[in-house]
Amino acid sequence: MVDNNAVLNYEQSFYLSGILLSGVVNIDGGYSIQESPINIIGQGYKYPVRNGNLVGTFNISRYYIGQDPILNYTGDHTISGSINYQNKNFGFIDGYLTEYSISAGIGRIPVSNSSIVVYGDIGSGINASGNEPHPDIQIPNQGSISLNCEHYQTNRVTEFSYTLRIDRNPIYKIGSPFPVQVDRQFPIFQEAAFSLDINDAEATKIQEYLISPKQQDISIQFNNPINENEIETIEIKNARLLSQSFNSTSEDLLTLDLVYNGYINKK
Amino acid sequence: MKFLPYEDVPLYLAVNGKDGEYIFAENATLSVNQPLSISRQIDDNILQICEYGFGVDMNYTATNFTENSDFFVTLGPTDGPPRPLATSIRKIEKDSKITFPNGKHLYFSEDIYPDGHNYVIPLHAKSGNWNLTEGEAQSGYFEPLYKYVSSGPVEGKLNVNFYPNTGNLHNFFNITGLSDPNAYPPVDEERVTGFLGDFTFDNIYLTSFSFSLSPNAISQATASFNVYGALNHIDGLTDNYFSSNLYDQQSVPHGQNSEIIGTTDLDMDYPISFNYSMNVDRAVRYEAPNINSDSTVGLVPQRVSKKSSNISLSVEGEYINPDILSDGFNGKEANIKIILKDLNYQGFEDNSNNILNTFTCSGVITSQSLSVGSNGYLNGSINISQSIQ
Repeated sequence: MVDNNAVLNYEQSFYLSGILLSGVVNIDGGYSIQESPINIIGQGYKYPVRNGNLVGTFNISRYYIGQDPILNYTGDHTISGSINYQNKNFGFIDGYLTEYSISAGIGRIPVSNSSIVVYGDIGSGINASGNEPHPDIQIPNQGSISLNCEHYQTNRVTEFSYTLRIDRNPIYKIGSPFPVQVDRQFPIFQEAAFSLDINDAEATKIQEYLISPKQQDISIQFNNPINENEIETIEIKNARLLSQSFNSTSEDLLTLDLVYNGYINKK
Repeated sequence: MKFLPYEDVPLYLAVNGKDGEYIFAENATLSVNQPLSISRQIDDNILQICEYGFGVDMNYTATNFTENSDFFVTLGPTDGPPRPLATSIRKIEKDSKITFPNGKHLYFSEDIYPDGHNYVIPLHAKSGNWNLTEGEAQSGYFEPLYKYVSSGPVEGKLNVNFYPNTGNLHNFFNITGLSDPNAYPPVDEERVTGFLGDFTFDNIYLTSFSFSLSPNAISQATASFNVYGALNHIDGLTDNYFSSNLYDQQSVPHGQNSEIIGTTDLDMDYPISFNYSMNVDRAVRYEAPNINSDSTVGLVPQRVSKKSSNISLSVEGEYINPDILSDGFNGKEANIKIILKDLNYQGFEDNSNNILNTFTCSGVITSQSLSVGSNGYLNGSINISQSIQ
C-alpha cells in the first residue's frame, strides 16, 4: 500500500452485517452526545453532565444493483456495519433501519438511500466484516421497471421515488445507558412520488377529495433487463393520492408530480 | 437596585445554632404571604343625610344647593339619632362621588378616616338649584377604601431544587434526621435559618423532600420548607461571600447507573421512572399577641412540632402483579432500596464517586395502575407508602 497520508475511495469498503456491499456511493455515520451544564445559584457553571440517550446514525447511499440486503432489516432485527480501511474500521452494532428510499429516472441507475439509527456502540474498532454472500448483481434500467400510478398508461413517467419510514421506539430503564427494548412504531409510513410528462393527464380538483379521495394499490416492479427475472416488487396497499402539482417552465416540458402515501400496520 | 444574576445569589441553610452549607442548588423560590380578609359592616357604603349643618332637631328639610358650595351634613336616619361613618372604612378620598337616586350627585370635600365619631362630615355640590328629597337623602352610595384584617399567621414557602451530594443528607433536608445525635426522644424540631442572597430568614421548617429518576437523565431533589415570620434584607450580606471552596460538590445523581432494588419482587424488571418523597405534617403553635405591643409575639410560632411523617414512592415499569392487592387484607409489603449514583467516570475529577446516597422505603403497596395510549406501551405503576412516625 502506498503511504499517501490519505485514504482514497478505492481503499475503503463497507460491510453490512457481514456482507461486503457493492455499489456504495456515499456513507456517513457518527454520533453526538447531549450534555447539560450544571449551573448552580451562588456560583454559576460547575461542570457538564450527560443528559440524553446515546444514539448514533449511519446513512448509506448506493446504486440499486439487485436485491438490497438492507431490506431484510425492516423488522426488529439489528444491523451491524463498518467502514473498513487500511486494517482499521469505523462501525456500529445494534443499528435499526429507520428509512429506506429508492429513486429512479430515465437514463440512470436507480439509487437507494438508507438511514440507520444506532442504539448500541459506535466508533472505531468495531468491525462488521464477514463472508456473507452478496445478492446477485442485476442492474435494472427504465425498460425493466414497471409501475402503475395514475395516468401511467398514456403519459410518460420520467422519475419516481419510493420511501419507507420505520420509526423506532427505544425503551430505557433506570440503571442502563442502552435500551432494554427497541420496537418499530406502527404504522410504518410509505410514500411514492411520480413525475410525468403530460400528454393527457389532468389533476383532479382539490374539492373532489371531499367527495371521493383517490386511492389505489401501487406497485413498482424491478426486473432484470437481460432475463426479465423479477428482482424486487414494492407495493403500497390503499395508497392515497394526496399531492398533485403542475410544473411549467420556459425550458422544459409540462410535468405533473403525484405523491401517494400509505401505511403498513402490524396486524 | 438592580437585577442580580443567579451566580451572585447564594442559598445558605443551617440548623439553628449549627454550621450550615451553601446549597448546590439550581433554583430556589422564597415567598411569604399573609392571609387577609376585608372587614365589612352592613350598609357601610350608604350615606344617609339626617340634617344639613350640625344636627339640632333631627328634622330633615330639603335645601337647594349652590354651585361649587361646601357644606356640612349630619349623618343618620331622617328622624335621628345621628349615626357616624362605619369604622370598617379605612379612608374616603376627597372628591369621592356620592350617588343619590334620580341622577343626583354630591362629593366628599376632604379625605376622611372614620374613627367612630364622624357624625358630621363636609360635602361639596358641583352644581346648583337642585335639592334632595327626604327619601333621596337616605340613599347615597359611595365607594370607600375598606380595612383588612389578618385571618391567619404570616407564612411562606422556600422551595429548593438541588443536587444531593455524597454522604449523608444534610439535617435540614432530612425529615428523619437529628441535628443533635443525642436528642431524646429522637425527634428533631429545631428551626432552620439561612439566607437567599441578601434576604435572611430564621424560622423555616422542612415539610417535604423528594426526587425522581429517569433513564439517562440528571436527577434533582426538591425540598420545601414552611417559612414563618418576616424576611429581613441585610444590604451587602453576600457581597463578599464567595470563596473557591464553598461549592466543592463534585457529583450529581444520574439515572444511568442508579439502582432501584426490590422491584423484581413486584414482578417489575424494567423500572422506567421513579419518584420518592418524604413528607411531614407539622403543628404550629402561636402565642396570642399583646395588641398594645409592637413585638413579634404572635408573628413567629412558639413551637413547630412534627405530627406524622410518611415516605411515599411510585415506580413505573413494564408490568404489575395482579395478585398483589388481592393477597390479603393487611396490604402487600414492599421493600425498595434506591442507590443514587453519579456517572462514575474513571480517571476524571468530577462525577467519579459512584455511590452518592441510599434511600429506602419499607411499606405497603397502596395502589397499582395500568395505562396504555396510542403510540405508547402498556405501562404499570405501583405506589408504596411507609409511615415513619
